[in-house]
Amino acid sequence: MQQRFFLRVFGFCMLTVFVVHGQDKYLDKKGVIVFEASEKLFEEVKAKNESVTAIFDVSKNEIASLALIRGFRFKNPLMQEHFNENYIESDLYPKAIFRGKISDFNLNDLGSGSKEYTIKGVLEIREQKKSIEPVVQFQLINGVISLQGSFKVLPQDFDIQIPKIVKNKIAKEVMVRFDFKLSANEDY
Amino acid sequence: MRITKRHLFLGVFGLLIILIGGGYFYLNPSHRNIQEEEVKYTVTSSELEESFRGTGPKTNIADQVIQTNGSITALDEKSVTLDKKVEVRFLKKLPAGLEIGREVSIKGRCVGYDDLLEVVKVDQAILIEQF
Repeated sequence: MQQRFFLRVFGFCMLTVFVVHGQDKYLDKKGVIVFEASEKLFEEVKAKNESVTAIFDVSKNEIASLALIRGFRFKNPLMQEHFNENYIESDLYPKAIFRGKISDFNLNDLGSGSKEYTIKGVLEIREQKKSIEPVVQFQLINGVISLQGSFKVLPQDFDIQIPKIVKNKIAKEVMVRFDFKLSANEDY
Repeated sequence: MRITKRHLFLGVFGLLIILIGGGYFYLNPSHRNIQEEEVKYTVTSSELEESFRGTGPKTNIADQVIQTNGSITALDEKSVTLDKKVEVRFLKKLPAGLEIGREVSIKGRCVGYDDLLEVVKVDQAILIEQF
């Protein structure tokens, strides 16, 4: 009898550990980031990365995202080359990383209707850190957390010099949009 | 044959077309075609990972065309993971016949190292061989 009770308790504990562990981290390996710094009348300055990593730790309300700079694709390959060689210097600084926290977030509050939260965090590019606070739309559909938002940054924030000759062709502010679909994943 | 105004005009016009065309392609080159580029490094998935972790040879493989091989440990509609170390995204759809546990050799562009997932990323890949 006692043994059975013990087994039940043990089983329950294991189940709890398993469930909690399984739901702790939500992951997206194919997140999308688009940034744009186009000026009217000039060729669009826009690039897209479709393999951005995002990890959301629900137990701590912490979120981290990493985009490899070489993964951004421009329509114009020459622009892409300049972006990598002259502006970001991707050989030296191959990635952009964001780490942030959401206050008063509770996964149980989420539903298929979208809910707004502010993520406070730091974006690091070229070893320069910039605090950002994007407002993000959260949605929970079939166990997948959808997360969409945007923010603006300046090239100067990351010590990026825009040469005079192209200054009027590139917007002062860079608009960054992101779209993640995070699912519970233990194996990453 | 006498050179008339008409010949001259045609000649100048033709030259202009060539110049404009040349200029256009010079200013608007097409994207790299990884499939047609030659493989610069042939490495195993472990060697590839080590080269980014600083334990391997100090060559900058990022943005180079590489060929690598390994056993598939995960896959989805567009990509496979080799030995839990290299994530390969195919140029087009996932080639037929790929499944977990299968040994494959692929060619693609090395994008870089993802510290969060702890994998090397390769994109625009094509399947070279499966065993």
